[in-house]
Amino acid sequence: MTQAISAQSDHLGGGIRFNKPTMLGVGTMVWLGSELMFFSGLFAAYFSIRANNVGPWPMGGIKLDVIQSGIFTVILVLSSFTMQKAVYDLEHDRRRSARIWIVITMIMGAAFLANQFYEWTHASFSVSTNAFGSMFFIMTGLHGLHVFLGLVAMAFLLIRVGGRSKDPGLLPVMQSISYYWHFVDIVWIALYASLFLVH
Amino acid sequence: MRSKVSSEKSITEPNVKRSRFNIKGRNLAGLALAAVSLSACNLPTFGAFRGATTQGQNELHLWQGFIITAIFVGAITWGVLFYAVFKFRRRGSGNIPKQTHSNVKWELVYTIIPVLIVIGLFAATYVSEDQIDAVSSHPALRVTVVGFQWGWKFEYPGGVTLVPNGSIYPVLELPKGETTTIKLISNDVVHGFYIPAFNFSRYALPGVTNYFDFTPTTTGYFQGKCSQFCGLYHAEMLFNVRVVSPTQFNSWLSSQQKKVTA
Amino acid sequence: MTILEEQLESHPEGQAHHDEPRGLYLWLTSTDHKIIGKNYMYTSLVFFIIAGAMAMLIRTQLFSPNNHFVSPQTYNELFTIHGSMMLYLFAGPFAFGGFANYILPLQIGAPDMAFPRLNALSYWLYVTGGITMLLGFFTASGAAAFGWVAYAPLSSATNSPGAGPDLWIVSIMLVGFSGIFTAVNLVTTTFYLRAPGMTMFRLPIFVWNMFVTGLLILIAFPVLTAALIMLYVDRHFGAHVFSVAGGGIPVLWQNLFWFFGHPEVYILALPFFGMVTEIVPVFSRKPVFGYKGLVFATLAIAGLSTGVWAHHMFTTGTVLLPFFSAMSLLIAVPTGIKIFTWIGTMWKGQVEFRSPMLFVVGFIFVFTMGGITGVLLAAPPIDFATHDTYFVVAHFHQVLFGTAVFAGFGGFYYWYPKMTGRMFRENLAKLHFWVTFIGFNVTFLPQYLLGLKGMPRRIAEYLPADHYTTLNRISTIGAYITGAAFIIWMANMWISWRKPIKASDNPWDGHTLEWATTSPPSHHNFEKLPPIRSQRPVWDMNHPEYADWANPDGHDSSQPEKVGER
Ligand code: HEA
Ligand code: HEA
Ligand code: CUA
Ligand SMILES: [Cu+2]
Repeated sequence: MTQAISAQSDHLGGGIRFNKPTMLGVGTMVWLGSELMFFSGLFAAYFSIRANNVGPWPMGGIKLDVIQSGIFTVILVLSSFTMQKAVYDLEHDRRRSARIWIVITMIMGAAFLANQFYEWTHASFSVSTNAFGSMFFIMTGLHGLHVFLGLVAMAFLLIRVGGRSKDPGLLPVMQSISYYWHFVDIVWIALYASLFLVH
Repeated sequence: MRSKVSSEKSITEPNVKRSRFNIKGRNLAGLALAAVSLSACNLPTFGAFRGATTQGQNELHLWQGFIITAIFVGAITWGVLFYAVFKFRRRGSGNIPKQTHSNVKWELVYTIIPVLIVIGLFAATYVSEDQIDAVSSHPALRVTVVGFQWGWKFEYPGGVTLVPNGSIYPVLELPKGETTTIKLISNDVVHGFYIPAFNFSRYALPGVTNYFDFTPTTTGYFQGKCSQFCGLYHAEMLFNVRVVSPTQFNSWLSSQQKKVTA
Repeated sequence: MTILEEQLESHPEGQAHHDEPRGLYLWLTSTDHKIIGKNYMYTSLVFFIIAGAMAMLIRTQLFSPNNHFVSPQTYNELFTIHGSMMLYLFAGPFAFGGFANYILPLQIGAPDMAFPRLNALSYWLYVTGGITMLLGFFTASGAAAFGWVAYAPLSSATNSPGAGPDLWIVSIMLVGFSGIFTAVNLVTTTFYLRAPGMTMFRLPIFVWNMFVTGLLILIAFPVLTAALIMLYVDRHFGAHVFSVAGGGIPVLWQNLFWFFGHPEVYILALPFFGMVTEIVPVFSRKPVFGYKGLVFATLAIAGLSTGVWAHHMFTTGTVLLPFFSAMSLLIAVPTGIKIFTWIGTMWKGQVEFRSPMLFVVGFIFVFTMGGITGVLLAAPPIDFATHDTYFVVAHFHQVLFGTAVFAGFGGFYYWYPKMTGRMFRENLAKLHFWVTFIGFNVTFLPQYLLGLKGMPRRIAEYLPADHYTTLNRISTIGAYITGAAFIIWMANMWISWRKPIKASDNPWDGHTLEWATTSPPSHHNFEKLPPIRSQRPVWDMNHPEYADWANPDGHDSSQPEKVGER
């Protein structure tokens, strides 16, 4: 895929156009549309089960640590800003700075995942406790997988940003990963609100 | 809703003959409704069951209205298709025909007419569905039907329970002319409680309780089946329905109830 | 809109290698859209034959009451895999992977797809998914046996134990990802790689339909993927999403499945509608009639199709009947627009019955009837009487076989010369059509009557007392006739392979850009593109005196077209 980008940015004539999405950017957004539907399917299931439930929610007297998760929610949201800072730096050809901000973003993402791992291992309920437990683990798990894949993508990105030669395909890749990261972020806000705050 | 329709029925009744002969001249949207009110039943059934309950007969009338509309629409569409195909065949090398890109008038015609037909069909559906789905608050009888892999259980008042017995399928006994409310449940997988002669089926869904009414209009013996695929022996999940007169029904029920207490 | 107007004359990745790949290895690792398209087509046709052979076994079992040709378990596996394979592995990939991949870039004057490697990945996911599904037959407990719809809780670990169902779940996920990636590719390609002059409203309808199908895939398939993941977690980690026990909802599966499942049937239909809209004008020597209406109808079908899913659940007693009934009835309108547009295209034309056109007329004939019986099913009371009977089986074979086989083989014969550079034997193709047409109708028309007589679908056996025997026998004989028709088709292909007749570049006097290049096209598709000043650039080039852009009198006010635009 990376080759496709480099070929495609050739005919942009080297000059960078910030406001026009690249072909990779368009493709990424189209694909994120499908991701949106994917999570919509999960949300539909979650809210159906909630609507079907009589008695308090979450069912089965499950208690969640709203504060702790809230802190890491803030961290993940902030990581979108650090990511955008990295994009901005790369657009203005400040590679070193871009690398630093990517690393910061990765650390924040990793912290989020670490907390999630902690929550999973210390939860008072499991995927098989009841339907809430099932949806909790399925939804946070699939979201966590997305965060993880984002980190993997950033790791590759980091290597590429570190490359010496002129790399015209780099910016579209960076932008696309940033779209993805923002998307994952927004999904988490919705997830946090639905799983932790809805009663 | 109900009373309005039946009065409509009685108004159209004397006109049945005339409207049948005028069918061609009428607009198609009206046709569906007209056919619903043509409850004289002298229309063919077009392959469907007559419907041995009032609900089933209601369905039949809707079906007749729909199928007549369908035949009309189909005949017209196929008609113009074949006309085009035979009339405008390329013969010899042929000149290049006029290059027409569009014709707003005709495009509107073939958009608006189907819209009107659809509105008519929907109106008829709405009325009929309302009646078929109505559940009486004071039924003469309540029966609980349980679907399970792979058989049916019928629970009557007084602890009377009928289940398959070896290779003998259970029989759902119903009184003629009276309304029975069926409560339908399942505890394992999805089953389809289906009585073809009643023109009716409903799912037995785990987690959902369904209620519906039967008001049988003829006595007789009918087949019942499981329509929704439910695993290995889905094909053998059969039952029977027997509609008898209310007196026969009552004596049957009390004799069954005696067996329970005995 | 600015993106839409942007024109790029780029050669994406595909340009890196200039020669046709030679040898099996290069062929299989190719990222050329034409080779991937052909691979899709061959593979999907293999699945069609396998699934068709399963249909023969199904029909043989139903030839007699109380038949023991196959066991009930085998029968249940057979119709499950027959349906799954026909829908997920044949009809969809045949059109959207095969034809779209091959034809769409050519029709918009692009050198390749936007993301050629992603395209290759899609193909391999598809093949892997297909093999995964078939592997089910080789597990101890057999293949999945819960129908192509896998209703919960029948698909749970207790009711359907074993590896077969798991393989089915994984297989559908793989095929789903493959479809999503192809959709991303086709949508982006249509956005980005159109040749100069190819505006959105000059796109061939085929491209429009693929574009809209892509959007539908992006809407529908991810929801199925989500549902399948939840099902898998239910089966293996004791989750309770679809089980009553832990507060889950079995009928939730049906809602999620049909939210995908109904759009899916239009995902299967729209690409073939697109092919029909290419073939009818060419063999009538007229432009597409009511182009804008067709685009609108396609969008309307896509829009409506996301709001009708519960017409598959009328008998659950849990859905809002009037709403879903109204939406389902409404779909008849845009679909009708399409049918009448095709007839309007033939109207006062010079209709020539070469084999592609024959298949297409067969399609219109069969599909109209299937569509109308769909409208009957859209009335809940009628559905109460016919749901899950052979009436439904007849309905969906008329629409599915009508699109995927009649229209699909019409497209196959239409583009065969372009893709292979060879002609097939026209007489055999016509014979193929007539035998298929007869066999098909003999198979499925009796099934309407069976359904009305109350024969449920998915039953391995029926009783002599049911009086279904005669109609079933007729149906089975029809199925064998259809099977024979495809042997004629194979013979035709064999002959064309052994004794080739060279095809010209534009054997049908085609209208769209793919006919401007060689047959088969060179690796980078075009040496030179004709100017694109209307919806039919190749027609304009070959018939300058009748060119669309030069002849405004054929147009009416609804179609303003500035000469010399761009
Ligand atoms: C290519 C696939 C395809 C297509 C195009 C359609 C098209 C339609 N389908 Fe079908 N359908 C299936 C594939 C398809 N279907 C499948 C696979 C199933 C079974 C799934 C399963 O359970 O396994 C199914 C089942 C199914 C059901 C559920 C039946 C049941 O399980 O009980 C219903 C109910 O409403 C339905 C309705 C419709 C309608 C209203 C259309 C409409 O889109 C049809 C529109 C077309 C026309 C109407 C004809 C042309 C129009 C005119 C000539 C204009 C004038 C017409 C009028 C005004 C009437 N379909
Ligand atoms: C595109 C979709 C498609 C197509 C083309 C077909 C094609 C055929 N289908 Fe299928 N069918 C479905 C989609 C399709 N089907 C679906 C979705 C279901 C529902 C599954 C479910 O319930 O879950 C179904 C279910 C279904 C049933 C109902 C089973 C049941 O409910 O119990 C039946 C029964 O008659 C049937 C028959 C046939 C026949 C005879 C053909 C024939 O037209 C096939 C003709 C093609 C060939 C025969 C291939 C080529 C033949 C040869 C090369 C000859 C050599 C081989 C031999 C003779 C062995 N199908
Ligand atoms: Cu119970 Cu089928
Ligand atoms: Cu549908």
